[in-house]
Amino acid sequence: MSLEERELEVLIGPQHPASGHMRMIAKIDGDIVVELRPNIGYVHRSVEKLAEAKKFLQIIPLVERPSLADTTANNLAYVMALEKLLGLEAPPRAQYLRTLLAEINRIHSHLYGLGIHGVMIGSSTAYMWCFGDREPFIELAQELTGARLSYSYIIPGGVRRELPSRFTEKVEKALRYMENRMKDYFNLYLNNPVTRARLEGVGVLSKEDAIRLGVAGPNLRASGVPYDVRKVEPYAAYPDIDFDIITEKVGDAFARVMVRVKEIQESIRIIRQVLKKMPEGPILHEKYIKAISPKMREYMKETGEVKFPGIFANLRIPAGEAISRVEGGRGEVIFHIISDGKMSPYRMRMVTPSFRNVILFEHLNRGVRVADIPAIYGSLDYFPPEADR
Amino acid sequence: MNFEELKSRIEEGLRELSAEISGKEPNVININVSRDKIVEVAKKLKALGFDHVKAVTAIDYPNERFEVVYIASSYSNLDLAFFLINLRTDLPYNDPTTPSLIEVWPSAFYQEHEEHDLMGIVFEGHPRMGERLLLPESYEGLPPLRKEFKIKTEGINA
Repeated sequence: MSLEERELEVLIGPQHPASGHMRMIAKIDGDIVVELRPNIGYVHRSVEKLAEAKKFLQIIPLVERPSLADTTANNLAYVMALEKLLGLEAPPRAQYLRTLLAEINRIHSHLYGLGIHGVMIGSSTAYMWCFGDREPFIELAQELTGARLSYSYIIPGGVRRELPSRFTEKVEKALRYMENRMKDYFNLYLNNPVTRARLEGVGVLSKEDAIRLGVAGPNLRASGVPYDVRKVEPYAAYPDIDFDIITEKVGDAFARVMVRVKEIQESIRIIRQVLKKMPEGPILHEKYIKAISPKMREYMKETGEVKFPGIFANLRIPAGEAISRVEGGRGEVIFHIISDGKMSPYRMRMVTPSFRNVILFEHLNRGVRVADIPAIYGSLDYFPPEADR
Repeated sequence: MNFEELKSRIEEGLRELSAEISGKEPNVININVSRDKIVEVAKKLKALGFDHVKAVTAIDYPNERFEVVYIASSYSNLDLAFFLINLRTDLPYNDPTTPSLIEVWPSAFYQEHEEHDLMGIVFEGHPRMGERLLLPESYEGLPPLRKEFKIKTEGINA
């Protein structure tokens, strides 16, 4: 029998194989994957096209939707591109609040990824724990922004709300809980021989291939490339913050998990510094504060909630081109906006980390066992809606 | 490395390729080339350390031209990672074809495929031209990112 005849084509998905709708077309020979092709687009919502028909402020919730577990990155990157074209920067306190939300989001985004991966390799406890432990951080974000996941907190020139009262205490409580909880994660999951057997040496991505394939985020750093936008092109409050870029050398599924685990610990460190160093001052650019009526300014002072100035409704962005990048939980988010001076972008390119990483499905699944497919998929923290946009 | 240094190094490296180079401080360098030179220019840029592509953007200027922009940067040389090289080429409106750069930058593989699917640009040498990526396999009609493609609005005032 020829090799050709022994191969079998197996369709995995598109009915939600793990973290969203996608399909994988695997050619298998016995238990060995000969070739795997991701078939994406099942949750494509044409964000780039819709943006051309929406006003600049309306696009904020639109760009958040595809990455529901990691919305701050998209929100921030999009607004940073607008601010480049507007030629303005948010005041320091707003930059700190942006950083605070970004790191809270990074923690719960990583917990989401770790939890999904856990259940994909059969540890339903890891899934329950991670999803349960996301909750304190989602609650914090909700108290800060008013929403659980889709925050739309970051607006041109600032943020929407002041720090709530006694917030630092509440944050500290959640951080301490997470630090203690980490020990349980190691005991039950990360040091579990079953977890190790499923992940160590599986789906190894070499440093050269990670660079060549343009991989983004923890998946890149797990292969030993110390690239993090927060250090390479610092934004928000990151220039003032002391933190390390987490890298691993091996590049296997376990290394990718460990980068996320250690980044949670690093985010805890960042959040503490942010709250300690947060300067006083306005949370919106003075140009926009001046555009708000005195009565509304009084209301803002009392409640800590920003009232949008009238010009936001039909915000025009000066003609030009801007590229912004942000290190989200899943990796680098890129916005490339071309404006012709009207109320909607002429062209908006949005590149998400999951889309950058989709190439790994083909690359890492060649020659592995069928049971390794979910172990590899989960280790990438790949989110189909984010890739499809 | 500072902006001016890098710019002159690129100018030197691309001297014989009639590329138009302009900078936008602090970190964007625009390189305009014709499509018949783009592969060579990409190879030179890769040799200079720009080892991956972060984004491929295709832009439609109706009845005038298409523009394809590759945003390249570096992972292996962190001195260069701050800089974003925009390699740009204009394509005639009735012939939106350009050589694929996947041999130089495999990181452009899915992005070129997407711009083919949604904007109708043909990247010669890319093995998946003619295949759908994000659109359904049965999709027929205008590429949706073309300006000519109008979005149907819904609701009481539509």
